[in-house]
Amino acid sequence: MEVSSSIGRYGWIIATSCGGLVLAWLSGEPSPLLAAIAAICVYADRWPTPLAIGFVACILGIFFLLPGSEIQAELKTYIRFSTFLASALAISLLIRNFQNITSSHRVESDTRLIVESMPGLGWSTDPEGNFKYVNRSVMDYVGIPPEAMSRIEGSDDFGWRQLVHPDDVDHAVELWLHCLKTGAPYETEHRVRRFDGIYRWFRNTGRSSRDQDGRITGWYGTTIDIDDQRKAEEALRKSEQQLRLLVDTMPALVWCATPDGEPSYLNKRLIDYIGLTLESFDNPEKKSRQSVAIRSVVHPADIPMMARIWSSAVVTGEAFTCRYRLRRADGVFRWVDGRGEALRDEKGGILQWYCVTVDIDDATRIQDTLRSTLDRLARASQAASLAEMSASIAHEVSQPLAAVVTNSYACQQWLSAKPPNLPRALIVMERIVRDASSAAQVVNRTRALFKQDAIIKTGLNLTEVISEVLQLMHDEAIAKGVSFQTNLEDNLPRIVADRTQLQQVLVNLLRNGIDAIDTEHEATQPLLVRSRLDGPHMVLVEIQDHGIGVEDIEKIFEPFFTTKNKGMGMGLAICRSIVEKHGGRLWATANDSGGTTFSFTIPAYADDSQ
Amino acid sequence: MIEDDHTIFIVDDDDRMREALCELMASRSLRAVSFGAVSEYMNFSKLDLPSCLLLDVELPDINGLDFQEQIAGEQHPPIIFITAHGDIPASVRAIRNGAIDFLTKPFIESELLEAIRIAIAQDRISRLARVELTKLQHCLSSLTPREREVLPLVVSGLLNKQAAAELGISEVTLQIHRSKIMHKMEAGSLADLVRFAEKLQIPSAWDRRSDTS
Repeated sequence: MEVSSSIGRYGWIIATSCGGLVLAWLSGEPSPLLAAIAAICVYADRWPTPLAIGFVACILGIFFLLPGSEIQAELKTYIRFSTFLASALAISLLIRNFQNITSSHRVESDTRLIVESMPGLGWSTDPEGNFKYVNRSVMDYVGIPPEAMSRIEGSDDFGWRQLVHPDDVDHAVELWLHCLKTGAPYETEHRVRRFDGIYRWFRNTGRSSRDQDGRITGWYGTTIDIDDQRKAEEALRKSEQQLRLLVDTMPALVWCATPDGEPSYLNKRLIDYIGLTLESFDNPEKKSRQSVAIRSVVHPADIPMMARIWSSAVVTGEAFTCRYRLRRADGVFRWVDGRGEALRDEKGGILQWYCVTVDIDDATRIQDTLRSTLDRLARASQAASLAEMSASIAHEVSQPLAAVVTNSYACQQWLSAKPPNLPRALIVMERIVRDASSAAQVVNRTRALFKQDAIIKTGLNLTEVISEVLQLMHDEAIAKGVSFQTNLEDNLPRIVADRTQLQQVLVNLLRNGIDAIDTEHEATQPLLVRSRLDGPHMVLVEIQDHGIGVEDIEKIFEPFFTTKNKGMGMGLAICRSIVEKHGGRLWATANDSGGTTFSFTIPAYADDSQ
Repeated sequence: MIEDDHTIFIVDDDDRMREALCELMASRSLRAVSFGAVSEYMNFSKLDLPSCLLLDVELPDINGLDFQEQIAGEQHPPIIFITAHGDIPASVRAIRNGAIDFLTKPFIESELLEAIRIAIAQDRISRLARVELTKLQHCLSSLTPREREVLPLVVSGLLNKQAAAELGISEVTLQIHRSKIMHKMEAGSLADLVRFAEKLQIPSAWDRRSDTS
């Protein structure tokens, strides 16, 4: 008969003891009291049992045996009483012992089931730490037959030690002893020998099991094969180490940032380069590392640009490139080329920014030197061609002049001869006239070469002229990826100008604007052409580019000054002279937002009726 | 100014300049022939007269300075350069290579005429020297081999006795050779003979012996 619920169990005990009491009362025989005593023993598990039993037995013995007792029967009564007491004590001890045995047996049979069905290697030990049971997988793994295993199980000196790798066994035993003492969970990794002698890594986990009094009744544990995992981890660690080594040794400065732009990693080279670590960007005011980093390593002049590019990259998530000056550990600012790209998850969210910075200072310097050398060369070649031209003009003039002089000497001689040779002198005179005229012609031709054609000023509709020129330049602009944007005021008064020359000015300025826009590196902004009235008698035209800008705004109007590879550097000088000849002004201003605006004024037609 | 026969050669690619130069020469009673290019000048068969060359630097077929270097070492009349755009390096080069003058157009008449006069005179002298040398060479070629051996020893200033010992012949024989040489070389004295030998660049036997000792 099994009673599983504790209430049922208590009910059963009370019923049994009450029954015993009643029976003893009715029969006057004390033996049924043994049933009640047994019940109390079972129930009063926690009390100091013999004392309780003694106490209860005394009460009951006195209660049952004393009334109606006779003097002569006294000895016999005491013997009975003692026998009863001894029986009660024996029963209580028996019950106590059996209780332990059953509980331990029950636990063991339960755990055997659990341990057997556990995945991996399962085991259990007694509170002293000796194996009580290991499951089938253990035996299969270590290749020890059940009989041999039961010897190991039975031994009192941790027979399992022979299965653990010699290097790991000391630590494992030490920890196990510690756990046995304190009851702390046992957790360690060690190698276990397989049946074929190969050691594999296992994670060994054990927990103590306790009874209701908190006493350790045994240990249960699993041992899981983590060899593959460990090897994978090892490989991973190794590859990570290699990667780190790669990142640290490659000749580039590498850094990473969180999606919101906070620097999260600097490679060793970068740390060495700037002489700062990631931690040095931390600050007590809890400002972002990003702003501290930019302020401490970027050239002050480049900070606004850098901050702009970086924050826009963080907002848009687009890859960025920028060129700026980076502060080296020794305080020297060097030009670097920075590039960054975001790593994204499958949903497109940014996980991390990866950025590379390359020192291009030397290259930049070489380039600068090269460029200035080229500039000088170009100037020199222009000067050379000018010298060549003047030499050729000089030759053209000096040849007939030399002939004139020589002929003059001859003529002099003929005339001063005695008698003078007049016919011969006349012939020579004719030649002198001829050669001198020829020299004069050369001079005239040269002047004509440099002289601009005569201006034919007429009343013109400026908007019309601008539209014509824009149409003319359309293809060229498209080819270079530049678009025009116009903002032309309606009802402008007519202007007085030479149509061709005005077109020439416009073409020149537009072409400059197109060339100034570096379509390869920047998002192209359109070339803006504006016209408006400037005072009552002037019309103003502005051509605004967002290009590279110019260094010296006045120098560009000097003859032979050019920023281009081709060209004589005469364009703007000619434009200015044309505009000034028309009574206007041509000038350039640097835009606040980058690039240059060329502006010129042309007088309005005085008699215009509009 | 120049009375004797002469020729002035002019090479200039500019017609007007050639014409003017010829006119100037004519007005000064100088005989001139002009050419437009160096090749024309070279092909012209010249009379054997004292002459000079007025040479332009910039010419269609060859640079005048290069031409001057080409003909260096040959017998050639002195050169006067005339150029429209002369520079210092060009003039230095010309003078160093033996040009009489380096004139820039338009030139001063007197300078040109002076240069021409010097050039003609120089050419005349060098012509005379050439004639004399030719005659001496002719005389030298009439000597017998033995006499040619004796000549250097005599002009080196050796005594007859020494020279005879040198050649292993008797003093009398040497004296016979010597008088024959004097006769053939048309030398009036030993001093004349020494001078001739110098012009003919006959090496001194004395020097040779002192070298070997």
